[in-house]
Amino acid sequence: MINPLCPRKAGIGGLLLTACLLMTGCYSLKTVSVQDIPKERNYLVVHAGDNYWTVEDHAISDSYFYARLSADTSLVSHKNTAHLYVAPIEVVSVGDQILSLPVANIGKADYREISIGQTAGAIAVWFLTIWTLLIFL
Amino acid sequence: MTGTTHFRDKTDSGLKFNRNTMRRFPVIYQVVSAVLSALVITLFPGCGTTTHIPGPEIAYAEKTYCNINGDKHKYTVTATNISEGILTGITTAADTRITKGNVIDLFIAPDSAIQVNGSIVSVPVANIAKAEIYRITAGRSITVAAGVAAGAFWTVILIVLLTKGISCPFVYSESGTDITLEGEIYSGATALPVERDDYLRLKTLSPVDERYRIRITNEVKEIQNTNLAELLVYDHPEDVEILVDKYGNTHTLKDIREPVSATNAYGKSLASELAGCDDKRYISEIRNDDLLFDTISLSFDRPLNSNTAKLVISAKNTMWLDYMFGRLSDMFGSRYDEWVRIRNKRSREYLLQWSLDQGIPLAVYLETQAGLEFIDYYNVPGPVKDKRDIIEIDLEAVTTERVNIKLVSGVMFWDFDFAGMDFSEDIKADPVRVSPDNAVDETGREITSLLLHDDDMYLVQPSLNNEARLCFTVPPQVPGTERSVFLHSKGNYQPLRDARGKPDMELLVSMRLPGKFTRFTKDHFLSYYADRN
Repeated sequence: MINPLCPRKAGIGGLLLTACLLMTGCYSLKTVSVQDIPKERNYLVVHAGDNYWTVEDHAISDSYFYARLSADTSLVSHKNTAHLYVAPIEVVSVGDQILSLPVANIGKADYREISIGQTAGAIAVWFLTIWTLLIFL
Repeated sequence: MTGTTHFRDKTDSGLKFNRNTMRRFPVIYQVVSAVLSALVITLFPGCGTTTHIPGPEIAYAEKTYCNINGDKHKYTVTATNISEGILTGITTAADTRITKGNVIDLFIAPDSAIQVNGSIVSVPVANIAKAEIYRITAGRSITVAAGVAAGAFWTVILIVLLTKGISCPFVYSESGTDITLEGEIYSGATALPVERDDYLRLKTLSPVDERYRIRITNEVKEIQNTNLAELLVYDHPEDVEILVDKYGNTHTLKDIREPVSATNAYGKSLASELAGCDDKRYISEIRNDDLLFDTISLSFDRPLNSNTAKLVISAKNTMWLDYMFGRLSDMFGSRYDEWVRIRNKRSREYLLQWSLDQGIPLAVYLETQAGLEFIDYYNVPGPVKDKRDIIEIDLEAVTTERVNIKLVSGVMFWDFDFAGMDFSEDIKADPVRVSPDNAVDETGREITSLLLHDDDMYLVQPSLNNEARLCFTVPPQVPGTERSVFLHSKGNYQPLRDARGKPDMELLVSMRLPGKFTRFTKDHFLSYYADRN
């Protein structure tokens, strides 16, 4: 419990809270070709203009991209998802269960992955910072 | 001007190079840390990350350059414009330097949608699959800034640790509410032959329970031997300042004049740096040339009928000098202890001359009709606090209306705040000498008798955090006067180094030559500086 009359505790608490808020891990955006999307990225979010569809079980055939529309998106997270950016929007064909589009119209495929080095570095930086400041607080 | 001078020993004591360094100085550390942190946070440009921006916002991205990325082609354009659903831009020159914070990346599909006509590149907005910009993120910026600031702080600590191997006793004054560091004593007396007297003004000292209370501490790795400690208490008119020179002579200052000109060895004016005790300071300018000794040339208007002058400086040594002397000591490696023994058997004159030959003390020259004449030198005051020091100069040999002085020291060995000259005659000011009536060490052991006389009995402080607490009776103050108190001490100290390895005897022997150590320090600095530029 923070004693409001104790600036030292308040300072330490504020510092730790700030560190926690800022330290959610370091992510970087990795660009790949659609053929090189890792298998563990089993959900794909297809963006075209202001629209997007969440799909899974994708395949490429005859320069066309096919994927099944996801019925349940509750399991989607940034750890198992990749993004496809398509233009123009008219090339996207959406059926009952299948989304299809020409591969040539995929302008970009990317996904966010955690950077272990950056995250470890950031943790070290915060550890050093907090340790330093605790000396004086 | 060369750094080779002939030392003139009066009764004084000597001087010697190195000097202490910092010790645990919480306030200083905090200030340094805060300043560095503020600088880093202020100057750090921030960390960025790639961010997706919606298509309608492309026109408002306000980026100078635009990367148009197709599956097979890539163009960098500028002067982009969106009109009737078409984005156009002019290709940039191949050698254009583009920072990532000033560019927007557009990913086009299909590649065939990119049209090139001469230097004009155009793309239908509908074919922009994704637009990205590099945006500064507060979280990462704060993280990195905090990290760099903390790193800077620990760098300072590291420097302190690296340089704190050589030092001398620190003196603190008690005032009832505060314990204040006053400075260092017998700085540079790193061998028995150069044991010397020291006169340190105790600016913040005030009676506590009707006693003056001071502390003498060892905060670095060395053995400190204090022979004598007493107070010199002066009650003097309010309009004069008292200073005690290195010979123990009392001087009064009533009209300190700033120099009419002050320049360094390269002719740069130091008028503002040396005027007044303020934040403006001067440390030698280092250039990649053969200059080993910095010369500060000072000119003062000489009042009529003045036959003597008192040259007053406020200065300290640089950490660099301490650090480099430590480096020199470490070069003796496994023979360091032998070197210490040899130095303790050297003559006082030999050791003093060596330090003068290296520009470690601050040599004072006077321009006379016969040319430059070596007058005297200032003892090294240590790197932690400025010391106001004084040298009296006989002007008999000066026939001009100007008094021209040259202050000579090794480059980057001294850090100056003020230089001035007082031509007023000394008024009579005799101190009341007060010996400690009680002194104990950190264990409570009585040590008073060790400090009462200049004899063979020493207060030996061999370890870190040794602390002596001295109490003095406060003499009654003469009504209508101002009081100044000085600590008169005498002693020597032996730095303890963890030197190992085989010594480079050829280099070490060469250090006996005048200016060789100075050359060594300058070369080291230039090399260090070059590695970082």
